[in-house]
Amino acid sequence: MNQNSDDQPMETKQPTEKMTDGTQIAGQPRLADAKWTWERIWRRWRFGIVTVINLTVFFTLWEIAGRNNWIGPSNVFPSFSEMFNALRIGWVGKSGFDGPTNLLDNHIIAINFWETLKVYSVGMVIAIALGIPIGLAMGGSKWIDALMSPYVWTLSSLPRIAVFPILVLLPFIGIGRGSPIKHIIIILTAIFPVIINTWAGVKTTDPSLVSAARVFGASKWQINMKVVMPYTLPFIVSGIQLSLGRGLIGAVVAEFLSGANRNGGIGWLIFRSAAAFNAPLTYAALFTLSIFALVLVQGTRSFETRVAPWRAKNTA
Amino acid sequence: MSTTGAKEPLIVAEGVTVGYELERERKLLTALTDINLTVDEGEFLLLLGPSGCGKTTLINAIAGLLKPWEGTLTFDGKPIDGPGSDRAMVFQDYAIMPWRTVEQNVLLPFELRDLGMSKQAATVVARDMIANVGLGGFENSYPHELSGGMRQRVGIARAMVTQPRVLLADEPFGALDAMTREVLQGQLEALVQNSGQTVVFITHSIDEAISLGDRVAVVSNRPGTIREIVDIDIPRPRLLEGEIRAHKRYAELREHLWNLVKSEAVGATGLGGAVGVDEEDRQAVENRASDLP
Repeated sequence: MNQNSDDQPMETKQPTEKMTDGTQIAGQPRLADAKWTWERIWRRWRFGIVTVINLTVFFTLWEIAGRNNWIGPSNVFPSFSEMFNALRIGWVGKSGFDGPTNLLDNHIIAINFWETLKVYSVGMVIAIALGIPIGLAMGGSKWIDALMSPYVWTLSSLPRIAVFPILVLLPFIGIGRGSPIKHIIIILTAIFPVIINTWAGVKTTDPSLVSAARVFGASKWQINMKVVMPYTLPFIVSGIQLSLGRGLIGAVVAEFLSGANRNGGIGWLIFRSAAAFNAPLTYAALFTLSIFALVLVQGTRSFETRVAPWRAKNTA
Repeated sequence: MSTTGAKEPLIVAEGVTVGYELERERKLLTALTDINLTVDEGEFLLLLGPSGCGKTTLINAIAGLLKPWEGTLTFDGKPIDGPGSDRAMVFQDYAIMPWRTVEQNVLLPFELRDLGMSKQAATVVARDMIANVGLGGFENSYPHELSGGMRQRVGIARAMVTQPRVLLADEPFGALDAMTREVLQGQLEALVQNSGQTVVFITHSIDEAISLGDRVAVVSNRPGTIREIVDIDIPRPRLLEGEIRAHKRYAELREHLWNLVKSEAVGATGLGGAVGVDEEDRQAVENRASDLP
């Protein structure tokens, strides 16, 4: 968008060959050349402006409520600045001005966030690596579908949290002490959206595309690779997108249950700091987790339309 | 079979009965009974019939997607046993891959079968074909960026790019608006006339049948059979340069075909009401049929 081009004579423009993207219409000034006015700025950015005002009001109210103990004392409901202070110390460490602290340790959020990140990514990679082939196999073979269905549909409908106490017992007989038990919990919470979406993609593959491939000589293998797989890919991506959020729930719940001294993960930190009445740290850890979840889940949303632009077009 | 000097027809159907399995209801559905039909090399044969009469089943059998239950169906003297590179098809719903560009879609037949052509050579042929159907400059566009008419041009290019001996077309223009349909009919006629392509073409439009066909086989209601084969004795080109509707034979042929189709069309609805109300049912059943191995 060239803002300075309104002094160029329009006649010098070449007649356009194609009008595919609609940005150039022969003989007419482009939209970008029009003057900026307050009304246009407002119309273009109004939702951004409203969001900024909205959040400013929210954090200001939080600060006032915290300072005046409207909801409770600061070890139950901290002000925004107290939370922010805990956030700073938890991430970048104490400075000389900070007074004595208890659990509010140097870098405690960074340490625990790193721990969560490690456990979560290993769990997610395993969940995706297992979920896709299981979904493909169930979609592709009626026998495997029949065999797996009772387990997949029961477990995917069951509130997964209900089975965690059983899993917590496993380390007592020597299975999965430490991280593996967290991995199992993450896999259990994250795998089903991947399986079910992959399965749905295979099952709903457009039969006329399959017919066309067969007419042009596709073998069974070629039908799978050149029709079913590309058709299923966007389903897999949206399954993964869903499972990212679910897996994070699993990770935090697993950390609630885990015992550790210092590095049980963000979930552990939230639980322990609250138990120790260190509410600023609890809120700071929660804040970190919210930002992470927001970036993760919202950031991957656009990915789905990028791998399958034709689907976005159809649903829009 | 083709040892005699006389020219054998390319496709011969003798007493063909064919249908498909309705998986959910667990019953076999006879779509066509006792079909006797020949298609000569270079001929443009139209199959005309009301919705749901089993025309698609016949073309699927010729394509090798379905096997006849009874009778013999031969292509160039040999019984049809599965799809082959000598037969290509254009689909009503285009059936082009949305994740492939125009060029990649047209190259699909070369990828699926080894036709003894290098990738570069195939690309040259594909680009040529894309230009022939009027899509030059759109090689790298995706189907969702194209209009319905342009998508079907991709379908036609994909089918004709390997120079099959017969082009099968299953109501290819049925989903297009009237103007686009007319343009594409004219261009298909020109394309086919230049190359001497053999075509078997399904339609439920009498006008389309008269405009395109050398002969029109009228298919009666389900279970379908060939009621009559009508020669269309109007010289070509009929569409782009010609004005077929002004031809004196046009009205006569139209009336004759309408009389043949009328009772079938009314019967097909089951109510004596408007034609085509069961279009969705038919689509559902036939989609499922083409799904079967």
